[in-house]
Amino acid sequence: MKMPLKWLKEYTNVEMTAKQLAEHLTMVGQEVESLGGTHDFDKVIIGEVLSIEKHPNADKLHLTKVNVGIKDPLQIVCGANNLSIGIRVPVVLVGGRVAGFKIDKANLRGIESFGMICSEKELGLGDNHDGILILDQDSKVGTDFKEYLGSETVIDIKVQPNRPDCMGIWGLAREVAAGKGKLTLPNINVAEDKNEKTLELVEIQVDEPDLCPRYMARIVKGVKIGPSPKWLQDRLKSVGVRPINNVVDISNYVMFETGQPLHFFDFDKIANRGKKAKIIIRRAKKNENLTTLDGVNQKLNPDMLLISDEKNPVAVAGVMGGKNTEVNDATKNILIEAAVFDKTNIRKTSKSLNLRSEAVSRFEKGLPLTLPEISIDRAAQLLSELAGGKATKGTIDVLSKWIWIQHLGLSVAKTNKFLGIDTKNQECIDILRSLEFEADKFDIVNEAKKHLGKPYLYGANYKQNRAEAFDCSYLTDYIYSLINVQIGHTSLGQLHHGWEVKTSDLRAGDILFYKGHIDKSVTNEYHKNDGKGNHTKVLTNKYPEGVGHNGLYIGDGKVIHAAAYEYKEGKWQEKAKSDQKVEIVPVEYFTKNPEFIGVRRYVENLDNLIAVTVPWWREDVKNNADLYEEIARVWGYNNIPSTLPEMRDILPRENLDYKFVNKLRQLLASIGLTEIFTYPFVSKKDIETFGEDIKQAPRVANPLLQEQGYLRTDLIPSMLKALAENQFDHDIIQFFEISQVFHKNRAGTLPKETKNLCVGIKNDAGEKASFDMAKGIFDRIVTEFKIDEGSLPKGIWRIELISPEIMNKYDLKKKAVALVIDLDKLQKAAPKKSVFQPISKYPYVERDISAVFNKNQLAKEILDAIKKCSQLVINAKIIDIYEGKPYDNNQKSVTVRLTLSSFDKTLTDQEIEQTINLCIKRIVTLGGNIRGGKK
Amino acid sequence: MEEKIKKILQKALAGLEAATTENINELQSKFLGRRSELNEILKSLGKLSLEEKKKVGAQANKTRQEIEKAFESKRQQLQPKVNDLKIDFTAPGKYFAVGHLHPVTQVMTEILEVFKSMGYEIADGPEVEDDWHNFEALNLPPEHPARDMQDTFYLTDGNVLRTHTSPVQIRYTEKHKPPIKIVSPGRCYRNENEDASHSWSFHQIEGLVIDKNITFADLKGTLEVLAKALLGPETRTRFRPSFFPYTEPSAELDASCPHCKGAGCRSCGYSGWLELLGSGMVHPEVLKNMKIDPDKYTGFAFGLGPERVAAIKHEIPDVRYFWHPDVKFLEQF
Repeated sequence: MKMPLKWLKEYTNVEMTAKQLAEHLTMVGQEVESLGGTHDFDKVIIGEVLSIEKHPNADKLHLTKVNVGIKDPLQIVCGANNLSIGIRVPVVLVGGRVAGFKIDKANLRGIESFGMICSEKELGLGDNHDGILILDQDSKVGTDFKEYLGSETVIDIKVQPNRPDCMGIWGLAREVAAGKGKLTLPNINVAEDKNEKTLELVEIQVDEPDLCPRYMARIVKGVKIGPSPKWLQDRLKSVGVRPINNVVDISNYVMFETGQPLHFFDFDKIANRGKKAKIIIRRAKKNENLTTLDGVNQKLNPDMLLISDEKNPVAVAGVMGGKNTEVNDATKNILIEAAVFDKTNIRKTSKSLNLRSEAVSRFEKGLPLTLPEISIDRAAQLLSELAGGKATKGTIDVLSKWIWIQHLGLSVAKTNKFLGIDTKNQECIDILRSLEFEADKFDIVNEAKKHLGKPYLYGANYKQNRAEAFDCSYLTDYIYSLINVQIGHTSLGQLHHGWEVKTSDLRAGDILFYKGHIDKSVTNEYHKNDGKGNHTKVLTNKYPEGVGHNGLYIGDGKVIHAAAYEYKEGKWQEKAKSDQKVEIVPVEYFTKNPEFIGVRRYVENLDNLIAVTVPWWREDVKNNADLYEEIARVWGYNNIPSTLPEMRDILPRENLDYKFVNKLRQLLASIGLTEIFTYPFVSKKDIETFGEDIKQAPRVANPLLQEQGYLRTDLIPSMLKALAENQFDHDIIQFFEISQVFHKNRAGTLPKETKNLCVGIKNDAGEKASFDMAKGIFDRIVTEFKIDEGSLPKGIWRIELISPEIMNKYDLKKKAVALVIDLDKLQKAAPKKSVFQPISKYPYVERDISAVFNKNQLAKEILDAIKKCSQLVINAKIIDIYEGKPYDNNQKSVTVRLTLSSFDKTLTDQEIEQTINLCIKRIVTLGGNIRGGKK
Repeated sequence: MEEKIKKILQKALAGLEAATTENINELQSKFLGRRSELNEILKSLGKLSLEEKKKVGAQANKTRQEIEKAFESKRQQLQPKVNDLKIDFTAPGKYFAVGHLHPVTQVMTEILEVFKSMGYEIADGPEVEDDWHNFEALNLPPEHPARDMQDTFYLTDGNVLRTHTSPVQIRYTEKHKPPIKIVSPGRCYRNENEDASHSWSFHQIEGLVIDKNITFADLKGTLEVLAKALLGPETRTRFRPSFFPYTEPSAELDASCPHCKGAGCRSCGYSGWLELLGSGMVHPEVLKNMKIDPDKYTGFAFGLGPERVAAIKHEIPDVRYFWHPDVKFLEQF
């Protein structure tokens, strides 16, 4: 929303520079996107061409002298062919800027030039670049060209979605003025033609009240189409709108003033069967079309709301008007539409038509129901003031929704406690009033006394009676509603809703009940208001006898109530009409009544409350937290102290999952791996390539790319892509990623998420070298977490060798392998703590045995066999595997290092020899051929 | 005899020439030991006349001393010298591969350490969420614009890829009652076209504090501590009103640009300020959805993007670097 400063200042007396204003708006919660002028140039001055000579060295260039209001004329080289002596032209001076370029002193073919005479295009004022822009002959030489254009400083504001009121300059003026100055908005009055009634000219029929809760229409006759006055044109230009004619300009102008998008129909183009035209607000029919003002033939569907006459659609509601009823030079009579449409529907329609407009950006935020009343009169007023029209008598108003007035009860103590500040009652009231909220200290006794003497009316309610007449429960309900305490509409509701208080503890504000006269039958239900305009039905069987009357305790042994009956001679008798009113009675009137039921209370503390009424344009303020924000932002977020929470002690809980993953990450990086992030989206092919079941993969309903329509069930595909992208950068690439993989779960539940680690290795030394690294990394991980590899359940980890076919698919030119570990399971397998193992005090002896095996022989089997052969074998590990000469292709030499010791004594050479021989025996049994004896 | 002793000396000195650390002890016992020729002579002195004894004895002892000295100096010679191997100290040592944690991981760890030191617990939750946890419980009703197909990845089963880590707050409060003091880090997803400042995934760290007596001033103080911890103690902050559906009042925290110290530069768009995070007091409706009584408890919540912090700290111009692995990028951090 562009906010031109001059325009703004018409409504406020706030004296701030543009920069201060931008800062101020930022600090009251308006997001300032930019601060700048309407025109993107600097140092452009109106000059007068004094002389023109031919450039000595260039045929197409001229040498001019231009008077720009300073002592000496400037020498400027110019190539334009529409130069003539005496014309007024815009000149950008040295140091100025046009079209994004800074202008320096130039040397053009040997002649110095001190500035530039500009074309329309160079100034961003139009597309004309045929020659320089020639200005009116009476324009004053030396004038700043921005001033000449009526250029304004503009602050561009990104209006928050909850603040449609700030989509108009008036609303922004309120924000600026709050706490800083006075606000003066224009008076609105419409001079109507008393002889012709709008109602007799047009009928409005709203078929979809949910989508159009309010539709207002006025007719202005006899407008004369012509250009708008310059001030109006300048204002529209300053918000980025091209002036068209006075009538169209007014509709735009009022929208920018008030925030209400209006639509003007050429009334004479609306189908008129017989005497009256008819406007119908309905859903579009299937396959219905309308050519909108932008000339596009829109295909409509029944999800869209239409404005139509008796024959044809005339507008897509809230989005754009139709060409068929467009205002043009011949237009005489205008039908003004000012309506509120359902914000969601407007947004959806705009999206499906791919049609954004200033109107949409306002309607989609949700407009208050009262706004059309203001804007339609403002438009009628301007049409008569600036276009010579005259409004017919009356406005047609189809309002199908109750206009909710939001009351709130603000406790200053709670405000202070919430915000951590120290405001006074009066400060809060002043702040709220500066935002045009009604705010008054709430005194329940005074409030009740205000209504003394008002008539009793059975069934009185706010919609019909406001504060003019009451029945007993409406009086109490009304009073409490002023502080947004919803106690229920009926005596039953109020009795059920409050908490019980003893008569000895009575306090002003408590409500006393007796059964009394029951007008209709006893009921067990009532409706509870949620304070936002919605009701819920409540059933209670606690009071089968029913409850017929109540009154509000005001202290000093007195009660105020609205009563039609009194207890006389043992029965309930209707009072004389003139005595049926709001009155004071002694408390005993209730407490001593044989049908007295009890006392109820609704609010802990009624002291120091401020009764707040939210202005109609602030529908975003719905509860006390919203008021806290209003107070805080006017008080100034800067003035809020900085403290740290004082909390009850909590034992900080360590997140073991985080700790585990963090340790793993650190480990992997420390042994040379580089961490990557990749998106979790993969294709069907990605999933199936690695043998995963596509049916198990969660599917994305709206992927950004069709080939990335699934959530990954495995990290390998993304890893291979990453390796491929980087394969030529280093001879060894070692990546790892820790991320979730997803599998479908039972219907109605979330997918199963498993945290996986994927390590990808590409080593140009070959697949075996890559494999050895991957396996080594796995070994390092299990060692780090003290996990016994043998105890790991199957399927927790795997190393994937990548087949040539898959390499091809992923554009891998070099062999790669991937290690995948299910981290959730790995973490479970890790012992929670290390337990001390006894250490033998006798020496440990190490011996190596080398043997030649068939290549198929698994290392694990060799170690298992050796470890089992004697208790004296404390440890056995493979320290070398050798393949190659002098062994056959199907042979390998394996060297095992044994650690031997005993807990009882130092081993003798003989014992060591025996144990080694046992091991050798096992090795031979496995088919091993002992090489070079032992060490 | 005289000649014999001279020869012994010559032999010993000649033998010593070729002495090595390995055989020098052997040589020493050969020439000076109990069974050496010289010792034999010394032992046989008794058989000589007094005059001869004096003469030969003196010569033999002198020779012995000479040989001992020669051995001593040979030993010295054989002592290994510093840098005898001519090691090139400027040559690189054995190579250990250098790994790199993702810059965003590094920033997240740093942020989480700050919070852990302030007594926050780390909480986590699933990346695929249901409508209630991701939207509705957070005061984002079905017709809310933020829920548009444009912004959210939906699964065909109706669940969504979480658009923020706020659902963790809802899940946490299903199991825990106040006092609550958590941060929830994790991946989030937005269905937006990629550009320099948008990616399909990003991380968030959200904080939630709920107890009796938690104030808006506490939020401000907490965020200021965080900003200083992350960007340096000289960091200035600006706390300004904003709007989020799940907080009321809402606030954004701007930090003075760490590069220009607030003077204005390219990193901060010449404003001197960087938007750091969004925050606010937990909306009463959200508290109700957490089954926490808004009349008794108050709380604050905040969320910041580690990608943004990493981009600020390292002056990274394009967030796409984070999600498209490139060793040349990752190796820099």
